[in-house]
Amino acid sequence: MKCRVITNKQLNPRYYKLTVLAKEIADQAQPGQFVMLQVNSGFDPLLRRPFAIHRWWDGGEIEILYQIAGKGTRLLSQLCAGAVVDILGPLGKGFSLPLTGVRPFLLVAGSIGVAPLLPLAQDLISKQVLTPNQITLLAGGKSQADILAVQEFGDLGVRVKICTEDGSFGQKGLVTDLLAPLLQTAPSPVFACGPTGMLKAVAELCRQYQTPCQVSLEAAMACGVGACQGCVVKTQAEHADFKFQRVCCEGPVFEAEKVIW
Amino acid sequence: MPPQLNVNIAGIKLKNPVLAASGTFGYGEEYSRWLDLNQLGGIVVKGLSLNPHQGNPPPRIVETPAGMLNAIGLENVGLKVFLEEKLPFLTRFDTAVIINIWGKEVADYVTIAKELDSVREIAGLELNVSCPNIKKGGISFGTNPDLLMELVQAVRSQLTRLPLIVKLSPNVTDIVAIAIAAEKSGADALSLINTLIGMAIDVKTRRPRLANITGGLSGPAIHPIAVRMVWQVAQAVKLPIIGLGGIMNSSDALEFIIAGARAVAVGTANFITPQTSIEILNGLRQYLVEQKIEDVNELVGSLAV
Ligand SMILES: Cc1cc2nc3c(=O)[nH]c(=O)nc-3n(C[C@H](O)[C@H](O)[C@H](O)COP(=O)(O)OP(=O)(O)OC[C@H]3O[C@@H](n4cnc5c(N)ncnc54)[C@H](O)[C@@H]3O)c2cc1C
Ligand SMILES: Cc1cc2nc3c(=O)[nH]c(=O)nc-3n(C[C@H](O)[C@H](O)[C@H](O)COP(=O)(O)O)c2cc1C
Ligand code: FES
Repeated sequence: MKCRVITNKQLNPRYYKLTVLAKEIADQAQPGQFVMLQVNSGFDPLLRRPFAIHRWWDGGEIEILYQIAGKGTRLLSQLCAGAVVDILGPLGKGFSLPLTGVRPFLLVAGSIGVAPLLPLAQDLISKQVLTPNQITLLAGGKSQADILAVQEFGDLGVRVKICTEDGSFGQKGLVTDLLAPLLQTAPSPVFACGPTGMLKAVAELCRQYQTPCQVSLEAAMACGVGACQGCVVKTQAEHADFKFQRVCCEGPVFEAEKVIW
Repeated sequence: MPPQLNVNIAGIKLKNPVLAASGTFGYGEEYSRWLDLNQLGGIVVKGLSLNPHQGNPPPRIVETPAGMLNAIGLENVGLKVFLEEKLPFLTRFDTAVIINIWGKEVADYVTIAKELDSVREIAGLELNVSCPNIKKGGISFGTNPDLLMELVQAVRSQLTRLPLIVKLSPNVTDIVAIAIAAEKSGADALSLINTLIGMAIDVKTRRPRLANITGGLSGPAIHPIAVRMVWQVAQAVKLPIIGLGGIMNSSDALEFIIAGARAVAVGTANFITPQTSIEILNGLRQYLVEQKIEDVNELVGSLAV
C-alpha cells in the first residue's frame, strides 16, 4: 500500500519518528502488530524492513518510532514530508489482553522496544482493563538518548520508571534491576519488548516469580506474511523437543514461557 | 483483440505464463490477503516431503546486495497435512497447482510422487533436485548426470497422469549436460534456476551470518546467470522450460521468454511486492500489444542473434 509521509522527525541523533497516512492499516491495527516498510524502490536494500506500529489515529495516520540501525533505516531517515512509501500491514499477532486485570501490569521496554508498548497501554486504558495508575512502564537503555516516548506514557497517566546503563537518566543499571524488586513485592503480568538478551532475562525473572509474561520478539524477515519461513524462533512443542514458529505470523508476541531461548 | 496468453507446459494448461515459485509463496493462503490468486497462471507450492520436516535453525535468511541468502532447510508440513489442510484452500482458485517435491533418497521421491499422482486437483510435479542424496554421501542429485537420471527415471516410471518438471540446480559446471540427462531420462519439462549457493560473514564476530553457514542466493543479483542458463538449455533440449531467477518486473520476465522459456516463475520478488506477478502480467500484455504479437507463444525463444 502506497502511503504519503506526513512527517519524519529526528528525535535525537539515533532515533526518528515517521508519520504516514495509511487509513487501512490504522483501521485494523492491534497493539503489538507491525508493518513491513519498503525503504526505497531500488534493489539495495532489497527487502522490506519490519517496524512496530507505535501509534495510530482514527484519521488514518500511523506512526513508527525507529532507530538508525543500518542501511535501510538510514535511507528511511532521509524521507521528506510528501514522499511516498510502500507499507504492508498490519501484520502478525499482537499482545493478548487479559480481560480481568485486577493486578497492576508491568510494561518493560529496552530502548526502541518501547514502540509497541505505548499502544498496549492505550488499549488497556481505553478498554478499561486497567486504570492508568495500575500500569507501570519500566524503560531501560544504554544512555539517556535511548529512553523514548516517556512523555506519551506520562500523558496517559502511566507511571514511568527509568534506568540507564551509564546512569545518565534515572537509576543506573539494567531494566531487570527495576523489575526484580517489583515482582518480589507483587508478582504482576509483564509485557516486554527489547533486545533478545533483555527479553530472556525478563522471561527468567517472570518464571522465577511465576507471573505471566508476553514478549515481542525480533527476527530477520523476508516476507513478513508467513510465506518464506525465514523468521522462525524455537518454541516448546507438545509431542517433540521443540518446534519452529514464525515470528511474523505466530508472533511477534509470544508467551515467554513457550520460547526456547 | 487482447493478446493470447495461454501456454502449455507438457500438458499443464496455464491460462497465462506467470507462476509463483516454490518456497516463496508458501501454500498460497499466506498471500491470498494481498492479491487475487485467480489471476496467477499457477502456484508452485513450498517443497513437500513425505514426512513433516523442521528445517534449519535460525538465522535462516540474510540480505545481500540486490539479493538474499536463505537456508530454510526445506521446512514443510509433510504430505498428509498438505493434502488435508493446505490443498483444499488452493483448489478453490482457478489456477494450476504444481507440487514441488524433495527427498533424501530416491525412494522418498518415488513414494511421494506415487501418492500425488492420484490427486486430481494437482496439475503437475516439480522435482527439486538441489537437495543432498544421503545414500550418495550427500552429493546433490542435481549436480551429477548419473544420479539425476536414476532419480528422474525412478519417479517417471511411477507417474501415470502427472507431468514431471525437473527443476535444475545452477550449482554445476555444465547445466546443458544436466538438462540433457533430465530429458533423456523422461522429464516432461524443465524449470531453472534454483538458488546459487552463497555465503555471508559478519566480520565483527567472524561468524557466518546463517546458522547453516551457506545458503541459496536469490533475487535480482542472479537474474543474468539464470537468463544465460535458460538460453543455453533452450538451445540443447526440446522440453518446455519454466524460467526463473531474479524476476522483479515484466522486462525481467520477457528476457526469459525471449531466451526460450515458455513460462516464468516469480520468487523473491513476492516478498517485496506481493502483487509482482500481476504487475508482470500487465506489463507482458502491454508489451505484446505494443509489439503487435498476438500470441505469447510466438515470443518464446525469439532471441535475435
Ligand atoms: C516485528 C519487528 C518489529 C520491529 N519494530 C521496530 C521498531 O518499531 N523500531 C525500530 O527501530 N526497529 C524495529 N525493528 C527492527 C528493525 O526492523 C531493524 O532495525 C531494521 O530492519 C534494520 O534495518 P537496516 O537496513 O537499517 O539495518 P541492516 O543492519 O543494514 O539490516 C540488514 C538486514 O538485517 C535485518 N535486521 C537487522 N537488524 C535487525 C533486527 N534487530 N531485527 C530484525 N531484523 C534485523 C534487516 O531486516 C535486514 O534484512 C523491528 C523488528 C521486528 C522483527
Ligand atoms: C526462501 C526461499 C525458499 C525456497 N524454497 C524452495 C523450495 O522449497 N523448493 C525449490 O525447489 N526451490 C525453492 N526456492 C528457490 C526458488 O523457487 C527460486 O528457484 C529461486 O529463489 C530463484 O528465483 P528468485 O530469484 O526469483 O527468487 C526457495 C527460494 C527462497 C528465496
Ligand atoms: S518473514 Fe517470511 S515467514 Fe516470517
